[in-house]
Amino acid sequence: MNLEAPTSSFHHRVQDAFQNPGRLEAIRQAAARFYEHRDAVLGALQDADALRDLARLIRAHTIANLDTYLVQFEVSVQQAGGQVHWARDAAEARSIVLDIACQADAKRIAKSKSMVTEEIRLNKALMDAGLEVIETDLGEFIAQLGGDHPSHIIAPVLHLTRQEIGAIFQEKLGVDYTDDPLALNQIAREKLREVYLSSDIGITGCNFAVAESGTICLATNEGNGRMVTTLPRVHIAIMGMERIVPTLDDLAVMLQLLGRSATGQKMTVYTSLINGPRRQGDPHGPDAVHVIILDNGRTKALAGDLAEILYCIRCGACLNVCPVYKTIGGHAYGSVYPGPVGAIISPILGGIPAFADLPHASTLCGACQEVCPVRIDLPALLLRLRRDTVVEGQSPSWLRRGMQIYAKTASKPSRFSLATGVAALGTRLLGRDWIRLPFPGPLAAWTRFRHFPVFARRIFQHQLKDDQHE
Amino acid sequence: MSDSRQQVLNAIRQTLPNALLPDAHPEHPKRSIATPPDGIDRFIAEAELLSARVIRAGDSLETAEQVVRILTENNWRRVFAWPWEEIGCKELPDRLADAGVAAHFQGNPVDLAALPVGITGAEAALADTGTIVVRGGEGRSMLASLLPPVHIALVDSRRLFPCLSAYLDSLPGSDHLAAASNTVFISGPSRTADIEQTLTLGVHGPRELIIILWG
Repeated sequence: MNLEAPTSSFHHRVQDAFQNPGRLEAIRQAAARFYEHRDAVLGALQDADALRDLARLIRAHTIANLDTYLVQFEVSVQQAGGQVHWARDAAEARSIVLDIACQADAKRIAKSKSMVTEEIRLNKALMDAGLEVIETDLGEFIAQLGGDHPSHIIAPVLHLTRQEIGAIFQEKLGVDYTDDPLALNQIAREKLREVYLSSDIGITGCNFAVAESGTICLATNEGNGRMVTTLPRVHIAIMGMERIVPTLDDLAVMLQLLGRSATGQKMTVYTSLINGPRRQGDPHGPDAVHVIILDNGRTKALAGDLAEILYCIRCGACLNVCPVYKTIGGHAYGSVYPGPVGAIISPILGGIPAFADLPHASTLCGACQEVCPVRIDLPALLLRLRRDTVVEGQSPSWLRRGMQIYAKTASKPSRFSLATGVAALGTRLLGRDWIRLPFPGPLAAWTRFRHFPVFARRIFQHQLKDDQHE
Repeated sequence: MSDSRQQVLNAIRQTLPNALLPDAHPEHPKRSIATPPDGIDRFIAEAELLSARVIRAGDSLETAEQVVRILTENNWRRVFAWPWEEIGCKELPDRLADAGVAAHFQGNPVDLAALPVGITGAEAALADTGTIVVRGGEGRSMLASLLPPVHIALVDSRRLFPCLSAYLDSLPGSDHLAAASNTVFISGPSRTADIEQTLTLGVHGPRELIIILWG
């Protein structure tokens, strides 16, 4: 499969998340802050709606002509002196990186934050091959030191407190304990400076790839993205094949939305445009630039009725508004890609059996669609995935049996009337407003997390009949 | 490897005709978004919101004096700079020499990383985001705006544009940006909020960005 399957069930992961309410509270607060900032800066924008409409049209047009633009991009990169590689899946992408590392006689690799390298489990493959790999985004660096996984696609260690981070630094870096964010930043700055200056290869993802100019666009705030693309001898950029935009003008439209939607920044601090390796006369810069275009299940997405998800520009806005994400946090999704967008991408890439619960981890409230800068109809896609889980027989057996019984009952008015009558009487025997007793057997899953409502004294059919008689 | 290329492209070509892609049109959508009529005041306000410092200067002599003043006030005797002709302030080299400032234009990054300040030009400023456009190329090291803890950027105020799109429109074509191996849009000093959402400046790049808007 194209995405590693989680090792525990969704229920277990959610229960694990609930073990640490402090972490969940931190996630809620950060998500709320991102959302407030987003709202303010988008609101201040002239014509934000028109801009979003245009961005959607650009993304739709690009995906509909993906082959053309990918080939144009490839030619442009080659003209700029870069090398283009194509990878059908994660394994192939990893082996391309390993080959490049081997040819460059590399020992140390500095990485900038990238979802796609997490998707293909690149770090493990490189370390297994005896290479040293260091994450340089501060959050990712902390996550790597602590043996943790990122919980948010923009803010990876949203879930850790400063005390936890201080303890990680003390243990792994051998420094005196401090929980002062400024001091922790300074420690990381010094440690990572040394990494940039001594690394042979820099690896990054790619926020956007511009077909007409062969440009790799990277949006970062800390400057680590610039370091790893300027100091090491070799730069490898790995991109999902849908990252393309046709022109630099299109890129400008996306950049106006990316930072604003992600963190409420009008522009990220550093937006780099990379066009191949250093040229004659450039004092610094890599001698070689490799771009790896990755499929890894994306053509599968194109084939089904979920292709709209390929419009996504990975801003993370849908996470910050999702009531489910804000309740269970990022780790509970069991995927590199959490939140509403992750609930769609993960089953597409990793297969429905491994991620069958994720399409259900949504209230379908529509907040995600509301904030999506390219207006992806996420609720509709989640519903289609729910359908797919049923078609593929991945819904729980008790649910399927229950639904069969319900279908039999509800298809005849007399049966339905009788059943609701019995239920009304039955539930009233068990409680006044809510049934607080645990249900037996498979029904226990309901009462473990919530109370069951008592049916109305007079069921709807009877009320309707009475009204009609009056 | 070329096999993979063909396989991926073939797979895309086979699926595209039947792909469900709402709002996809065959023609490339054109931009028709109004550009804001923003000027210098907006630029300064936005850049300062991002914790950058903006200094206005008149002619190139005043600009050079401003740079010297900042350097001497802080006792910075060595700078990592772009070649003077790339910065475009003709009085700068003499003034710096008079002040006893030694400039380094290239060399080993390990040595350059020890210098306290970097001085570069910028080819444009964008008002609505407080951004400067720093384009690499002949002699113009991308590290001068990145390695030192302080970055001083000199921008000609005639190169101020309302927004990114207006700047791109002013270019002769995509070749201009593609001609440099590296261009960066800089909006304020390096920042992170990765630790408990506490804003910290200068995590990897400069903690201080001083923009001298001259002319």
